[in-house]
Amino acid sequence: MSVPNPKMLELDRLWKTYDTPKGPTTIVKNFNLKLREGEFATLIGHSGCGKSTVLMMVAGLSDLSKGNMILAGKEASGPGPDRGIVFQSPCLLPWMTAFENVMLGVNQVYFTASKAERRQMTAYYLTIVGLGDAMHKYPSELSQGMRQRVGIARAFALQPKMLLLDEPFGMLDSLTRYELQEVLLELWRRNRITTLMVTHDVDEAIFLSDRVVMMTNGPEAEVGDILNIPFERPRNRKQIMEDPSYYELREHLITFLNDRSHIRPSREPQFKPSPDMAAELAAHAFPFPTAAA
Amino acid sequence: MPLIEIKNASKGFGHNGSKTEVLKNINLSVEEGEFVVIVGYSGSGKTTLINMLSGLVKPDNGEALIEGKLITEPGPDRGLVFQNYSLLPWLTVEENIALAVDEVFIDWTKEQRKAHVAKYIAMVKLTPSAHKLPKELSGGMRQRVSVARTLSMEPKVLLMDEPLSALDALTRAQLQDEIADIWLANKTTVIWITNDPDEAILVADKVIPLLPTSPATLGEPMIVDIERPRDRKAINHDKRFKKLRTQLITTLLDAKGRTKIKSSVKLTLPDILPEDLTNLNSMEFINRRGPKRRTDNKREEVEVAA
Repeated sequence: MSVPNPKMLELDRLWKTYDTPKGPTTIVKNFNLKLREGEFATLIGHSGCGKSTVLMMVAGLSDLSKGNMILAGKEASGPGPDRGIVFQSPCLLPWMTAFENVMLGVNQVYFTASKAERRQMTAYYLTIVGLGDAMHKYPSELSQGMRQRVGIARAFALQPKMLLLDEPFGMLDSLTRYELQEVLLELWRRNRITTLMVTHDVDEAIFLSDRVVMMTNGPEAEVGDILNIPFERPRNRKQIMEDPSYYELREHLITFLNDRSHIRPSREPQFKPSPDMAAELAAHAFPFPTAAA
Repeated sequence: MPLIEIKNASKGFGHNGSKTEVLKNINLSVEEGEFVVIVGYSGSGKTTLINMLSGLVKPDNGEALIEGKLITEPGPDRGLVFQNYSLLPWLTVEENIALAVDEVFIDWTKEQRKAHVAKYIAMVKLTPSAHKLPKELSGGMRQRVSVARTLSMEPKVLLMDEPLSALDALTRAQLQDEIADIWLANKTTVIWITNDPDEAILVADKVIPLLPTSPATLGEPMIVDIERPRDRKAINHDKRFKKLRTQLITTLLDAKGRTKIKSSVKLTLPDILPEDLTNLNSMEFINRRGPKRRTDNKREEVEVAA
């Protein structure tokens, strides 16, 4: 990994259309995004705007209606172990212990390694997420936060090319969420897997990612704005929260979301796009979509 | 004199041999009309703390007092709102509230009591649903019934144990605003327990962190001097809000970090890389004998560079 691939993931004019009795509905329209290798990007938007749809298309769990997706130089289709996913609920098999749940995938992708090495691999990741003394417990014996830790360990243990996180902390209370964000960053510090995360938590997006991609409201959602998060890594929450630019970034994102709020929309949109978006547009090799496209 | 207070209380659970201390050195005093929010991690003893005030749990040491009198049992002077609503499923909204009103205001006439029930149903904006059963209501509406039932007893203190934790973010935000508005209108003393720092600062006069040391103790109170009614969007731009938020979150995270036991287990990450399961037909792994390793990869990269 001496030279990071500048185009680990390329999403080129993705469309998602569903057929309904009233004719086709476009959920996602002309979605363009490029991720560098080792980049942590976040998709943020209101619920129902299609952020999960985009993530599921990248995961291969949902077909593309139009457009191309290139992962590490190859056209990708269908789900595979090269893309690790963490869902909102960890989806563990209840009759297996945490260790066995992680082993399930590890046995598949490291089938040429010795059993001892595979067990070592699983134990390594479970210990790092803080389950060193609970790895032989069943999911029913673990709290919601601990189960999600297993889900994160399982995704990282497979060393995927890309990590896809679909609101991984959405079901946790705020304080547990902060703890798990640190766990995720700790793993990510050790192995910088290219990551695409979906969230609607503004603080989470700023703390974790290198780049925040804001989506407009669906249907026909597209990229509304892109914001670079300049904080250095490894990140310390206290330092970041005390940084004067933290609340500037936070306000930028909140204003974007407020202008598109479903409940009490402000009369005057107050949002001004960031210069990062213009840079992103210029960087795209293909002509950027026009209204007619 | 404070309206309700806890002096030097501690509480543990379990028998002599395996007793776990949950709370220690708890000192809390709340003045009449104050809106106090206690923020802490789940499992850190928040509910035990509020149960001491409600009289459902007795402290092992120290005492809990209301208006200078020792709290020994639950009573209508302290209204409790639970996370799980605790409504009687076979009674309508109106009947659920009437149950409390009839019990507390025995000497009133039937009409007085009926009007009283109607007033509180209107306060939580449920008049159109007054004759519905709990199962016909959404989670947010059920919690409103629970709040109305508790307020209708006109308690001296309203104790709320994570009242909004079971609700989704939007309903939660709406109810935070509504409860803050109700409080502004009648200024009942409130002690509210939550695990959400943002919620705490948004609704409270005074926020007290419950530090997850073991046993847990209360931290320094933080005064929220932001004028009401607070607008949840505007408050994000408020300097005082930002400062308090940073202070509260870091206090809680730091306390948690201190309690973490540093383990000294030696971990080794095995030097193996995943196989390409999409391309098994190439049988490339057969010639290799053993797993792909990072070190092999490096060798490859050197060749490419040359």
